[in-house]
Amino acid sequence: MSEVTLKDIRKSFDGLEIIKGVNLEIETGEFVVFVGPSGCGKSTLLRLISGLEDIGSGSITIAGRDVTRVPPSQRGVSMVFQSYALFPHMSVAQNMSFGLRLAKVPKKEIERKVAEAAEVLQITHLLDRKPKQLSGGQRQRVAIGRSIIRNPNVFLFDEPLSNLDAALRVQMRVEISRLHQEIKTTMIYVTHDQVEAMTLADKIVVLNEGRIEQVGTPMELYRRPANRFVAEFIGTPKMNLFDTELVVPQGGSALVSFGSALIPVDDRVAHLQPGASLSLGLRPENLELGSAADPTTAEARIELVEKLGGESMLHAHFPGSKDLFVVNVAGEAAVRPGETVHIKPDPDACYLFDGNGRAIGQS
Amino acid sequence: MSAPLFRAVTMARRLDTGIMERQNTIWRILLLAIPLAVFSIFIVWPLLNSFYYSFTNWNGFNAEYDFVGLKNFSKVLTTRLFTNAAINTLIWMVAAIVLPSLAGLGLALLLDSKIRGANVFKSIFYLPICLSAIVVGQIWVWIFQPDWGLLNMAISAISGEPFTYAWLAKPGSAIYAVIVAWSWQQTGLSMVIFLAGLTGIPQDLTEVAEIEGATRWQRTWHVVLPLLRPATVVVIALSVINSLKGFDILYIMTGGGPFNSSDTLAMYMYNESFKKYRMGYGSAISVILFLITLTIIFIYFRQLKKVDEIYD
Amino acid sequence: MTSPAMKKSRAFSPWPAAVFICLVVLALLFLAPTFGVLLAAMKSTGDIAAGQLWSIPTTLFLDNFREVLANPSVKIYFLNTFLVAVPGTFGSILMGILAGYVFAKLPFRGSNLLFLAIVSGMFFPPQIILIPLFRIFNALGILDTLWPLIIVHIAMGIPICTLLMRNFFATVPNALREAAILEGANEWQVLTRIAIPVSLPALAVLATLQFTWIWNDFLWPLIFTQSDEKRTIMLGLVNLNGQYSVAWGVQGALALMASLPTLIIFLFFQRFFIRGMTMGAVKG
Ligand SMILES: Nc1ncnc2c1ncn2[C@@H]1O[C@H](COP(=O)(O)OP(=O)(O)O)[C@@H](O)[C@H]1O
Ligand SMILES: [Mg+2]
Repeated sequence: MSEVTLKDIRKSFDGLEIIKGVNLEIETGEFVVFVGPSGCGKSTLLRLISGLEDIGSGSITIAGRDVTRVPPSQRGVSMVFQSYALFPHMSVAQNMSFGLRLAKVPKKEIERKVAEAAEVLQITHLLDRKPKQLSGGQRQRVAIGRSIIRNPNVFLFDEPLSNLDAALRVQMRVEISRLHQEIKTTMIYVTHDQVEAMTLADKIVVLNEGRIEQVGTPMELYRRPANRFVAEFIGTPKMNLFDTELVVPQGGSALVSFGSALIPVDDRVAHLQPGASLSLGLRPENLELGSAADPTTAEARIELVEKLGGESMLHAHFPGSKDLFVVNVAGEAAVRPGETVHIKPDPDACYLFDGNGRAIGQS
Repeated sequence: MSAPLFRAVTMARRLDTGIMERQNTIWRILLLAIPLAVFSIFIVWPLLNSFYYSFTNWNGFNAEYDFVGLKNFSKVLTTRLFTNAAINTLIWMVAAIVLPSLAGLGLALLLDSKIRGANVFKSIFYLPICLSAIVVGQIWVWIFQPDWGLLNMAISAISGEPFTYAWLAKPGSAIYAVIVAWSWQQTGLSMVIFLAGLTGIPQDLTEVAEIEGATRWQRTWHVVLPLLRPATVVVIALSVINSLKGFDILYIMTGGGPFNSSDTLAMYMYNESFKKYRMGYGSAISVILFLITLTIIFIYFRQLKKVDEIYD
Repeated sequence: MTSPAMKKSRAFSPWPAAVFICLVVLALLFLAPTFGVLLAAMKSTGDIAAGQLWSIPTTLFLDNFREVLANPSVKIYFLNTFLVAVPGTFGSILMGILAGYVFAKLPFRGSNLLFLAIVSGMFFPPQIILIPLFRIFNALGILDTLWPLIIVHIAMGIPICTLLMRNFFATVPNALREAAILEGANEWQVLTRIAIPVSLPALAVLATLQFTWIWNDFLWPLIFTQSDEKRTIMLGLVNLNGQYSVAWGVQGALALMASLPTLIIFLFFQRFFIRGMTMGAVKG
């Protein structure tokens, strides 16, 4: 059963359309991550679901109920804000019980629920503290605690980890993941960080300029990006994209050029005319150093070598071109900047995109 | 003034407005209703009425009065008393800008150099602000008292012969004596604003100047003072506005006398309206006062905008 | 560790001492007027007339204060002023809270203009609305009561209170309001349970400012009250000074007592007070 259904959601601010028709189904218990570059409308979409922002048109269903005209507090959602939004004048316990107290829930029950939630998040010893006396990670936990206590159908998170330092971010990521496995409630999580998206999500929704580019599991998005945007956005380091064109030699099968080399492409380009412009996508891990004698390698010049210990990133460009691409090689690469090398692409791992950026076939 | 509110009401009625916006609109109306009503009834409406009365000969009590057109204004503008009050207002304003501002700036610069007990000094200089103009006036009436006032006693002690000049009773000195009292009270205010401005100046700027070999004076003159421009604009504007309101202290110290020598527009307006009960005439004076204030506010906001453009 | 150069510059700097002495002299000059009143309050009229005002008294002479306290009018003046200043302070701050909250957290089209219009009221001399207000209160039949004073102080306080409260509420993160709304709070609950509690410092600032201004006010009671039973302390002060026309010591004691509430507020809430003054001024 689907928990959240968005039907043709649109939203404008001051006449400018920010969300341009979003359709989405989210299953019960799913961990869905909205990912996309800054300003693409992720937060806006989340706020539309929460009801903090009125939708321009379309409809929202949560747990089988049309909530399009239901006020935020009655939608069965709870939200964790980027800034945590803890009430500074209230203790942790008061923060967590704020909604229950407004709803005049009996004191005994409030205490029980606060204790329960605090237990889950291991913040029992902090209940009497004020937010000011807490560390970033602890505040984060309290904010999540305030969400849990309301027992919502859907948890909403808006970049909850972006105010934490790198180490804590990884730790909290793990904890949020663990929490989801424990309570199995539907979660919608917004982030601009694709690593967070890849590691947390059951399902990723890639947004760009107010539209959904692609929906899928992390591995689907990684293996079969629907377009150039997703291909470039998902995966670190970024996929290399080369503008190229289709070459079909007399009687031979189709090829695309990769620098000085030609890569055979299968019949998925059969419907295209020779000379059609294409983008060739190759992830850094699908490129390797080869020998000059190998005809499937292309000559390139190294600009920069980043040694990361277990692996190295080579930034290189083809002769006569300034566009850099990245090659990921295992171990410590024995090349230096300025050196000319030969790059061997993995022909089975190349992605092709047409002139509009749409993926052609799937490899 | 209520046009935005009206628009809000009509917007709330439109069916396609979302639930949040509709609730927001209801709350806007609920929350703004009382403050706006009070403000409109007791500030805006009287303001408009002032304009209306300025065209009448109402005496303050009779139910009927006549519409006299621009007669009040032509009378006001040609009266020697008005010219006198206008000139005094100008003197009063200029002095009330220059004296407290300069004194406040001086004190702020002295206090900014991390002196011992700076907070105690600050409080001492600031203390007069919390006294009422009436009390301040009374204090200074005593200081200017001819026979045993502090000022004359000091002068007598220094010169060695009895000195009994009646500062407040002589047309030549009355308004200036009040200005001194006023400055004593207002200096603390400009001091704190300048101090706030000084703390906003990044220390590395003055340190760089010091490393470059600038003397203390050069640093103050070329680095600190230019950076205090925003604070200066605020202080000056505030002085102008406060000085326009300066009625109480004149009332208590001189009552506009002797021989109207310390009459200002506010004072003149009060005398005409509530001593002579020429309310129409008094309204005309207040309208003129309003227009002057409006001009100054206009200049003030333009200046502020300029400052914002420079410093943002 | 100190290098010789540093030592030298420290030893040779006459600045701190010069500045300090300069400030002490100025502070004494600044204190002299207030101190004079204190001295006068503790001297008999005869002593003052004999030129003894500025000498330090050898005995504690409290007759002036006794005289003031025994005067039944003084009690009435004080009571009246409290009856005006307390509701006036609360009322104007309440107005500022209501309007300031809307301007900060629920802005709408044209709200900035409306805000500016309200705030500009701060700059106009009160004389401008004196006559029409006199007429309104006359028509309402409440001249020579305390009502016009309370009403006027609430109304005249709206610009500054709205300005300060809006500016303060603007610093309260929007996410707090939204979190509360998601928890089921309505706007009034957001205001009373979140916005006001986190704004207590701003409220303290405003309360000290408003109370001081209202307490010290002279013009409005001068216009709107006539009878002695309705006078406030500043007006009463002027009146009594006429009564005790040459009793300088009594006048001094009166002035001191009339300033006592604001002096106490100033001494206890100095920080709030100064901050309020600068906030009101700088943000204007
Ligand atoms: N309340 C608002 N009024 C006007 N524009 C807004 C508002 N909220 C968001 N926007 C605009 O909508 C776009 C998307 O914002 P947002 O959803 O916050 O992006 P992000 O994906 O970074 O979370 C941005 O260009 C932002 O400026
Ligand atoms: Mg965002």
